[in-house]
Amino acid sequence: MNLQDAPHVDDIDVSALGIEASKCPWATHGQLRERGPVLTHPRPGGLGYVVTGYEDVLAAFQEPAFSKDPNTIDEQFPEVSAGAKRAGFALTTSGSSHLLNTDPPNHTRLRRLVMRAFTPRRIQSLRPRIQEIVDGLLDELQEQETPDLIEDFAFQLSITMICELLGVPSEDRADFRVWSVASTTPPRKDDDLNRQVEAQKALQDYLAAHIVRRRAELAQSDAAEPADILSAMIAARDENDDNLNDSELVGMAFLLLIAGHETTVGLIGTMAHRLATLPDQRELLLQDPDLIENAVEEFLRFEGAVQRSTLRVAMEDLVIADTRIPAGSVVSMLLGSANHDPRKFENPDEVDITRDTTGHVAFGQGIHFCLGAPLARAEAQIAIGTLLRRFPGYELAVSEDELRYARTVIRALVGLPVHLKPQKATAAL
Amino acid sequence: MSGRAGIDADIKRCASVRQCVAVAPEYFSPNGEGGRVRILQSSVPPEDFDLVDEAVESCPMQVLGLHPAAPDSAS
Repeated sequence: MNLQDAPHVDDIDVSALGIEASKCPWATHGQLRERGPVLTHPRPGGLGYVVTGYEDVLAAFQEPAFSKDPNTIDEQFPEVSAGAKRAGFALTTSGSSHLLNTDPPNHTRLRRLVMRAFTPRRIQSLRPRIQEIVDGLLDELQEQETPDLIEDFAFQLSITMICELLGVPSEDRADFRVWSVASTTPPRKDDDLNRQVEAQKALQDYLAAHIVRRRAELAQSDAAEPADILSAMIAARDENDDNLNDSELVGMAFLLLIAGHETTVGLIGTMAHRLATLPDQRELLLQDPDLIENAVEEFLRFEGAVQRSTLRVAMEDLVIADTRIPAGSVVSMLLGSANHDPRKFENPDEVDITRDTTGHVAFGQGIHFCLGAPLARAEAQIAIGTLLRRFPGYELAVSEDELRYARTVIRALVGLPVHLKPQKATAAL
Repeated sequence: MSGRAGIDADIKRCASVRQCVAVAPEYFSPNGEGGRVRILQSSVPPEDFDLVDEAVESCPMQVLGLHPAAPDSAS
């Protein structure tokens, strides 16, 4: 087998600004795939590796020699972890252990314990409540002339669900929201970084105290089924009577917010945006509302909020797609590229909500597959299904050119002003 | 009629999360084609119903099912 070194790319912007914040990430991804299945690119603190092709992304997800544990990485490659910390990898390294900063067997234990709180059946039971929140938000929005479906709908739904899943009492929600937004807003200046770190600290302190309180309340309660996901995680025990300790619970609660908030906002925003501008796809959904499940999968494939996987570090010399990846390399899989690989999906750059979306990697693949996938799916299905049912003719209130994407690693519109009930009659006046 | 149940799976939708392997390694192996999960034995005796049910429930792709074996089936 002839092994090659990864081609280096420095003339295409592989950063969040070049991909997540661009109008057409798939155009950039297409260019990258043409350069090779594995590429290097400049990143803060050194070289980064990205995997571009669908099959090779799948192979990378199966690679056991990748680590996400900052302690393991630090031990073997201190210079890598120092660089990563400077570059903002801190989000997944801060504080306690959770699913995105552990490897097996620690990860296996944690995931098995928290999984009980996130089973599809459990999430299914949340659907009536999600519906209620969506209905309430849309009731308010219909009174407004140009509501913003990001700020006033997707954001509100996502943060309300997270507060309820964590059992944050209503009197604490204002503070919680402020810390959450500051914690998940990526820093652009040094000032912002300090603010972000302070907000994360405040949030973690709050969560730590909140968990102690919930644990005590739970001990007093004789309810058979824990009411919220946090309580379910507190109560979760495996067959060896192992459970999550307080520090791990803080990590998990924090992760729910970091990994679950902006991504859900992004997905709902994407769907509301695209369905407003693709009348044939909207018509399909209006004719057959049951298509909503597959429509969510298609928009995840077409324009998922997570365009690249979280970072991994190669703990030994690896070969992916006949390309050498030296030990100590920081590697990411370009999910958006894999999902637009024409060798896997026909006409990948077109939206077709009736296509077979099996195998898309918008939620990743393998042991780090998105734990919150069933929740994200339920929220998007209900939010978009209800929006269309109640306001089938909603329209963008601005031109598409005016829409902007957040300059972060999550692909999400900054705002999406719409008219829910456009005055069709004005044209006739 | 043995009172056993059977595991069925839509393996092409498997996302290799391997939650089922973590829960019930006697029934699921991570070494299937393309890194997908492989079912080691599909016939489940009543004493393992809870365990396999947890494995089935834990699949985020909802690929797995546990069904009563047909009364006239061989095993």
